[in-house]
Amino acid sequence: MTETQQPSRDSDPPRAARAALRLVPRQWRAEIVDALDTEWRERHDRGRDRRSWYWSQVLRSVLALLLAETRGWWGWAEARRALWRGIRDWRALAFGVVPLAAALVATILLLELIQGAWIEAMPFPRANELVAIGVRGADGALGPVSPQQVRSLTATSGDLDTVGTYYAIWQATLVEEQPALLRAVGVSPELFAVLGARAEAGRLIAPGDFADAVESVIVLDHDFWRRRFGSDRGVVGRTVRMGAEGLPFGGTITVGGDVVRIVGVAERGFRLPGYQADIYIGLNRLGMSWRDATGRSLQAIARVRTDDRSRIRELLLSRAVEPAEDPAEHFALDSLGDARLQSVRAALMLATVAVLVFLGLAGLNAATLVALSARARRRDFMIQRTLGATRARLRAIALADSGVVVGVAAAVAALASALAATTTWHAETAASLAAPERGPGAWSIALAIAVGACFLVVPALAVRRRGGAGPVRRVLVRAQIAGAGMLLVVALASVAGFVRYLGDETGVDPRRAFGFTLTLSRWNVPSGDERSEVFARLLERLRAVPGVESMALSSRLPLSVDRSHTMRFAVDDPAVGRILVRTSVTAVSPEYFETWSLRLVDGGGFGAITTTDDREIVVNERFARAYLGAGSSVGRDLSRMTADGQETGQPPFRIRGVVADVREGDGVATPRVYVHYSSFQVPRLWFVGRTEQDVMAMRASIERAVRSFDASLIVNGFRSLEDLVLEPVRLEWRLAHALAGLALLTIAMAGVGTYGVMSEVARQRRNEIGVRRAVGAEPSRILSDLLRGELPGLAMALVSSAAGGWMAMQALARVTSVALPPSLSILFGAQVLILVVAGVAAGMPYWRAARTEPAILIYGRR
Amino acid sequence: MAKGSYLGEFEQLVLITLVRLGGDGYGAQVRREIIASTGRDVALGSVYATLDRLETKGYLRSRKSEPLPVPGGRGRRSFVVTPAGQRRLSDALGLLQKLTDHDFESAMAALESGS
Repeated sequence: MTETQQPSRDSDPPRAARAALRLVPRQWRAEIVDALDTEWRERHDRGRDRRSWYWSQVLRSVLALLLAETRGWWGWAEARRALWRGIRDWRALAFGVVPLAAALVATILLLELIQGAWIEAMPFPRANELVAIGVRGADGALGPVSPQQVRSLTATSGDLDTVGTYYAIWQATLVEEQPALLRAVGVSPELFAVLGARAEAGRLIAPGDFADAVESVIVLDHDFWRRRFGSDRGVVGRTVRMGAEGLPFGGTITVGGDVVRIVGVAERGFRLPGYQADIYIGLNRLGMSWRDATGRSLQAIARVRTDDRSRIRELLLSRAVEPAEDPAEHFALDSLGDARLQSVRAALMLATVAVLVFLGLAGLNAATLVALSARARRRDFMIQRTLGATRARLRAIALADSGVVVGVAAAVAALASALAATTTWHAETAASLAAPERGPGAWSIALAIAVGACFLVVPALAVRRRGGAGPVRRVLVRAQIAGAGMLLVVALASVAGFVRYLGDETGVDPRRAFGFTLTLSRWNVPSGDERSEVFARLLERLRAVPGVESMALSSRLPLSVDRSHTMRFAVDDPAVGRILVRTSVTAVSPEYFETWSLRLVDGGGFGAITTTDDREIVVNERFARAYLGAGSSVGRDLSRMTADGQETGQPPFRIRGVVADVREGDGVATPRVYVHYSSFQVPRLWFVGRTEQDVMAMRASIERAVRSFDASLIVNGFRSLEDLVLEPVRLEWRLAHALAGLALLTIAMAGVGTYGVMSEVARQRRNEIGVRRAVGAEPSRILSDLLRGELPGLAMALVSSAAGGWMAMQALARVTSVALPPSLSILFGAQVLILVVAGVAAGMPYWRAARTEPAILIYGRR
Repeated sequence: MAKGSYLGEFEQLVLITLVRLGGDGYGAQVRREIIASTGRDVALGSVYATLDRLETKGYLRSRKSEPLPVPGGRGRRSFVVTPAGQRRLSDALGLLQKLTDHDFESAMAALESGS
């Protein structure tokens, strides 16, 4: 059989190449297909050679015809000319490009955060079936549940599939050559299955890992695997030593303690709602019988046992599942996406609105400048029109000008946003929003540019037959002034709120004070006197560090929101008799009050107490006022009670002193009892100190001292108290910074835009001004007359700005507690500032024109 | 001569080929003739793009032929050299001739010998 008689595999041209021929302009397509088919059949070469020839013909033909087709487009020529115009008049280009690029950078970064925190927050299959379960708190948020509640819920709820739970630990340690702090999450046997998660390498934690006498296993988070192990798949199967401190269950994983085996790596993008973990470990490895514990500490997720969308919606709308066993316990449901965003939604929405307003204003600014550029080219347009140019052509020219501004701004923005995404500010903001940390993506760049470009189409489409941009430019300027005023009001309310927040009396002196914790677990420092002894020795070592003025221990830092430790006391109320009081407790060392410069109102602080059975406490003023009535509280006894109101049988606590209230993270002081750390043992104690030197400079000395005590200890969370004041409102603080920056840029843009438009108006009225000067009018009189004509427009902009600003302040007050409530003084201040900026920008061109010699104004020369 | 009316090298090649085909031909035919006479592998798309450009310049005129007498046969677009095209080609070749007839061969020989 000859070659030509064989049924050939390539009897037809490559299908993909045929598909590519669709790119050929229609008028040539059929003919080219026919000609290539004919030649395909006639060719004697076979196989790869023939296919290569066909592909080469197709690609070259497509390229040649597309180039030929587009060569004549006006767009290319106009774009080239517009670019040259931009380069020649680079100042005007920069005025348009810089604010627009700044707005695009803000928009791109925000879009990435929104995508990370919102759109991609649910990297699980059939994520709409996932629900978060909890007990709804007074603030509307879902609180954690106890293991016992989870079991009860699983047994009784018909609509929910297996419930998966997890518990986040922020202080696991990986002990290798250099001990490292990790973020760990303890997971229940069902969690990965409920979420439908998969492993990138190895496997995930399975129910078999929870059996007794099975070695401890961990799964690495994908990002951590990449950072720490360089995506080495060989790490699966290796063993590492783990440690952890501060576990509510007692902590069996300890520094230098357990050896655990890495069994797998979670798939890329896997993230538990609200937590960015480094490792996942079985919940049973965190301590005792977690399945029976009654303490509420677990986050629970379940998959709804139905794929019926209406049923899911119904469940979410009812938002409650009532277990039959315990009707008193009302569990609430939220869709997982909603639950995850609960804490950051307000901030995210505010940021979105602010950036969109800013983007709009930057677009308006660029539009104004493009409109002015078109106006300045009026003569050129008129000539072109006379020579037969159509209106479409004039629009094309204006569009090309806009295109250059957008193109240059987009290039600058893409580069700047890529750089901005590498900054600590961006990383911390992403962490606050629980969004992944990453650079700008193509879609966010494209979307931001598209939005920005929309504004530039306006002046281009407004090009009239005579050229110029007509009244559009005045509207644009007024809109800019109004928008700038609105943003300024929001920024001022936000910043003023922070000034007040930071200036408020906190009750402690935050200057040169610091705090940190150590990875000191109950495993190597078990409990009781021995534990107290270790802490006392550590304190002694740290006090000897040069520069340390005083050093103390505390179970919480003064300005934090942590109220996790409580005690119940029986208090005798003269009106109603004996009542049970549940109050917040801080375990402290005797030097605590002196270290924080806490004012003693009555009595004294702790003495040199070293034993665990000492029964002395200090209360704050609020506690004394609320529960102990008038008169001195010092020397009074308080009996500690159990949760169900029974006596503990221990001797009562005696009040040794009363100290001033200290503001807590949410701005209020609660009734609080200070107890010696040896009498109320908590899993984690902060070391707090005051120094004569710069706080951050102390860190290295502290770390050296800690290492000399025990090389396996890691100093964690070292921070100044001034930082801590901001801790509860960190996200709002970032937002206030961003708002202030955006507001300043917006004002500058409004000023530039107004100046540009008014310069053009003044240029048009040169003749009129010249004639008035020639007949003897004073420049000041001319200036006031001209400005009077601008007043109605300016007033309209200011009224819009005031109305928008007032509404924005009301919205802001609802979103964040730190911002000042709607205030007339802020509104007035912002209006005055805007009026000054707009007035100067509008008056300057007139002022210059009014002072120019009449001959120059009328004839253009002396 | 106006700037836009110059003939490019490939445009000249296509026009000459059409003249050689009797002043009338279609795209695939022109391409085959160019390959056969010059050995230069040209893409079909380049030929069609050039034919289209020459038609825009007014040097060619096209018409759609009757469908081919085969099942599914389609008509082809056939190109005819217009008098303007003939003149332009003649001018271009004349210009080339003018540039090369005065001692051109001796100048080339001198270049080749390196003197």
